[in-house]
Parts: sequence; structure tokens; C-alpha cells
Amino acid sequence: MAKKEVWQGNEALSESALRAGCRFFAGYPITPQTEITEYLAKRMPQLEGRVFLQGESELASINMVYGASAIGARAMTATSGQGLALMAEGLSQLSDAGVPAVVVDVMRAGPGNGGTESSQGDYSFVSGSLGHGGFKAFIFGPSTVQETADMVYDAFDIADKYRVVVAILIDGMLGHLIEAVELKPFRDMDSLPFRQWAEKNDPTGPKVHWCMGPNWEQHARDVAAMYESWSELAQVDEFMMDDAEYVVTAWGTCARCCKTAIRALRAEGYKVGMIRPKTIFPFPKQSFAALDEGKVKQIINFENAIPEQFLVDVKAALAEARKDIPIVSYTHGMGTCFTADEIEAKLREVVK
Amino acid sequence: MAHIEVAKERCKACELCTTACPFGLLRLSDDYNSAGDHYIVQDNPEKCIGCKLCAIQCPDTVIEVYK
Amino acid sequence: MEQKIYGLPEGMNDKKTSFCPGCSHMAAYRTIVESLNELNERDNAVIVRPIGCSLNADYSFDIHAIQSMHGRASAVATGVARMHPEKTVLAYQGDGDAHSIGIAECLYAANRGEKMTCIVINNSVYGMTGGQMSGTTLLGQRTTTGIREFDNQGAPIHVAEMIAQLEAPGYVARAALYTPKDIMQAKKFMVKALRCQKELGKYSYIELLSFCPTNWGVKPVDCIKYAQENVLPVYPVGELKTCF
Repeated sequence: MAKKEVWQGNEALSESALRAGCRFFAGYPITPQTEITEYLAKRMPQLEGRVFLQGESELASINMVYGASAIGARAMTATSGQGLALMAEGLSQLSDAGVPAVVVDVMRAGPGNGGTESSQGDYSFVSGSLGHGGFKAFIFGPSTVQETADMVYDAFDIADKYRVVVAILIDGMLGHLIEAVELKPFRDMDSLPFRQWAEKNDPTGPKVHWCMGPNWEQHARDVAAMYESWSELAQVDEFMMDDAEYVVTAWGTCARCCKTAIRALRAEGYKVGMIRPKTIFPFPKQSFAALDEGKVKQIINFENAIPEQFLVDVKAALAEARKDIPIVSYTHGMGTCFTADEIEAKLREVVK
Repeated sequence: MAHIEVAKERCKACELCTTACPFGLLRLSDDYNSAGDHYIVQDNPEKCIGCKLCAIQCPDTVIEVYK
Repeated sequence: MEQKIYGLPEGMNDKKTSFCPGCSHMAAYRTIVESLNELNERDNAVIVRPIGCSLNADYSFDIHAIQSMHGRASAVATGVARMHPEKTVLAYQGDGDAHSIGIAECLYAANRGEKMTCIVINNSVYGMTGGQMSGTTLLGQRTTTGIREFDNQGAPIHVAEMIAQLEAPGYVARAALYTPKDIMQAKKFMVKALRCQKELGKYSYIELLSFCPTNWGVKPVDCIKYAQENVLPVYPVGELKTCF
């Protein structure tokens, strides 16, 4: 086993992406993502065959990624909310053309200019539809630096396999968090999957996605079927769920704080557990379908977004499984985040 | 000796080539192609010198020139 | 025995396109294909085409093509050129595309000196959407979004001149696709632009003044006179910067 090293979230993510075979990065500075761009600006020129480029905007950056990926290179960009809004057009094009890419969103607070503080406010924006048109991204929502590094490593494979955009949703807190992690080794660049579609005259290349009419509709149906097939790929962390009577639902950094609070209550005998989706799309509906209505008294949702966004998916998963379990929800998000103490206090009110 | 061949099915009857011919040999046909367009025909083909100007002018490269 | 001395170049097929009669787009494509053939670069070329009338040429030529969003072709071409510097990379854009919505991408690719050639079809209107005012619409020109007045929209923008004063670009030129003489000059410029990219590894920009008979409301045969009288005084043709 390799030795653990201390890494900041943003930098661990960047290094892991390079080890996964990322050959091209274009990005534009934005807090709290900037360390990714800075790290790669320094690191990529040290490695052979890698290209770093600072775009003149997020619009340009995502389109540079599109060009690099469409010609065959594993490519990535990283940004935060405002930048993601500008990238929406390009992301939609990538998903329509079937050109894979990895996109990191280090979320910051609020709409508009908002604030640079951590938040989970881009959840719906990323999980709803990837820009206009309704195609989707495969979305990871890690909650530790180790998970972030591992997920970005896998993200490139998923992007290549399904020819989709894979989004990594982290927030400023996780991006700036420093933890001991074990990074995976460098991939052999020659062993990366060959992209036949990126070759000249390949009929499935980015040239011919412009196929209006029945073919285009069939293409969309195929894509929809692919999304359905992803349900098996959903990842979830079911924390102390075996006998849980009170089920916390949370994701990302918010879920870390929930764990601390849950441990404290467990020590006192309260049967509290947590369902933490590690993939936002596909959403781990199975975990909600498995809940026992006779046993679970209350679901308590925590998220750093006002109004709730993650809760919508939780409710949809419960409704789909026809589970009638009362839900209570607590939010932060405009520059403040839940602390473990605060969550513990809220949980005590519920389990009392 | 030179002559031109017009791909009449692709001709869109824009008539730009008629301005290019130094001898004014080109004009629109009286009948139509399958798209319902007139197409370019050449009068007095023996006067054609194969200068290529009509073919270069034609945006759709409908005209082939032989010399 | 008579030999064929002119016709569709190798790499272009005889599929009928949906361009309007008299539209210059296919003349532009032919110029590109002929120039690539001359340099033996067609198989090595990648052309990035953003949305706009240019898409009507789908499948009518044999060049590796990548679609891009409106205005972003230069950014996409940047990604291609950076990963494959050995390729001949072309961005085929329109005036609304490169001179309005994508002006940042266009100018920054030029300013970075990307190893690519940006080809801009300037017909002074938005063609595909049906003749709206673009950045290059002439003063007094009638469009479906009004007649251009200086007090309201300013003067037509001159992006070629802007690019020519940047340090990095190697070759900047404006040509017309009006008369056979203009088209032959355009081809000469195109070959130079591609050679500048290929041989010197520099950025080239070439603007091709084009007809849009449908949206100008001018019969194709009258377009030559109209363009010579109205467009050429505003957008003079010639080489603005050259590396040869």
C-alpha cells in the first residue's frame, strides 16, 4: 500500500486527474476553484504530452476542451457557479455531440455574484439538465478529499465509456480541505481506450451529430436508455442504517458534519443513520426504496442550499418507491454551512 | 476547341456565370430541371475558348470546362 | 483530345446543397478545398464549423469536420491545434459568429497566435436566421431588425484590421468572392494563409466578402454591382499583414 500524503482537495483532484490520463486542461480563474487552474498550470508542463491553457473566459475554456476531446484527448475543465453558467452552452454541445469531458464545479454561495463561501447551490443546475436541451451528466458528489481524488480518476473512464460529460460537484470547503490521501498511480497513456469516433469520417463522430429528423430522435432515445442503464452504477454510503429509526439525508461536505453528529447521538443510544448519495446522477433510489416504513419514523434532510435542491431528489425517490415517511428539512447556504454541533442540536430536537 | 458541361440538376439559376462569360454565351434555359429551376445553357458553343471564368464564378461549381 | 481543365476539385462531391442561389458559401468551400489540395493537406486538415449557414455544406466535402456552437469555432480550433499541432486546423466562421458573439474567442485565438487559420465569411447579415443586422452590416443597409444607423449601432466593425495590429498573427487578409478575378485572388490568399500556418506555425486570418442575395434582397446577378458599390468601399480587399 502506498503511503498517504497530505493534499488539499483542489490539488488532489488536479493531480489525480493527471494520473487518470487528462491531457488537456483549459480553465479560467474563479474562487474557490482557482487552485485547480494554478496547480495544473504548474504541473502539466512538467509532464510529457499534456497541455494547459488559460482561456479568455469559461465560454472559451469549455470549447477548447471540446476541441481537444473531439480530436482524441482526455480533457477537463474546472470552474464555479458563474463560470458553469457560461459553460452551459458548451456542455450541452459536448453531450449532444457525444464528446466526453470531465467538468469540476467547486460550488460557491448564492446566485448572481453571490459570495465565495462554500455552498451546495449548484446541485439542481448540474443535475437537472446539462445546459439546454435536457441531456445529462454523470455526477459525482464526494465528501472527502480521498473520494474526490478517486472519483475524478474514475470519471475519465466513465466519460470515455459512455461518451458523456462527467461532473464532479464539490464545494469550496472540500476544495480547500487538507487531508491525508492515497493517490492512484499514473495510467499508462498508451493503454487509454482508442477513440475511433474521433477519427476522420467516422460516422459517429462530432461531425454528424447534426442529424435532424427521425435519426436524431432515435439518438435521444438511445441516450435516455443509457441514462436508465446507469441506475446500476449509482453509488451510496449507507451510514449506520441497519437499525436506523431516524434517517438523515445529506450529500457532500454537509454529510461529513452529519456523520459526526450521528456518532454523538448513537453513543447515547439513539438509532440514527444516514443515506449519503455519492453519485448525484444516477441517484441511488434503491436505498430509499429499501426503507422500512414501519421502522423509520422520520427523515431529516440537511443541505447547504436555500431553498432545498437535494431534497427534491430525495422526495422523488421516496415517491417513486411509494414510501410515506415524514420529512423535515434544514438548510443553510448563503455563505454559512452547517456545523456538526448545529446538526447535532437539530437531530436532538427530532429524536426527543 | 473547348466546351463546357453543365450539371443541370445542380444548377440553381443564379445566373452569376452569365456575367462572367466574356462572349455572353450563357443564358438560362427555357425548360426546367427536376427541382423546377431553369438551368444554364450555352449558345454558340463553337465560340467558347475554355477560359474557365464561368466555372470559377459559379459558386456551386456546376460547370465543367474541357479544352 | 479535350481534357477537363476545371470542375469540382477532388474532395468535393456533386451533392446538391441547400444554399440559396448565388450564395458564396460553396465558392468559399471550393477555395478551401482547392487550396488544401494544392498543399496536399486535405487529409491532414480539421475544419471547425460553428452553427450558421456553413452547416448547409454538410457531407459535401471530404475534410475532417467538427461542429461547434455559435461563435466558438476559434476556441474549439484552439483545443484541436494544441493537441495536434501537426494538423492543418481551420475555423470556418461567419461574420455574426466571429465578429459579434464570438469576437472574444476570435481575437484571443489570434492574439495567442494559435497554429490555425480562421476563415470568416463576411456577408454583412445573419444569414441562417433570416437577414438580421450583424456587426458588419453596412450603414443604411436594410435588415429584418432595422436599417443600420450610425447613431444607433455605430459603424461596421473591422475585425481584420484589429487582428492585423496584433503581434502574433502571421498572415491577415481580406478577399472577395465576387468576380472570377476576386475568387482567384481569394485562392491565392488562402494558399498563403495555409502556408503561413503550416510552414511557419503561425496564426492566419482570412476574411472572405460574400454575397447573400436572399437577405440583401438583391438578385444574384445584381449582387456583383451592389457589392462593388457598397461593400468594397467599406471593406477594401488586400493583404493586411503577411509573413512572406
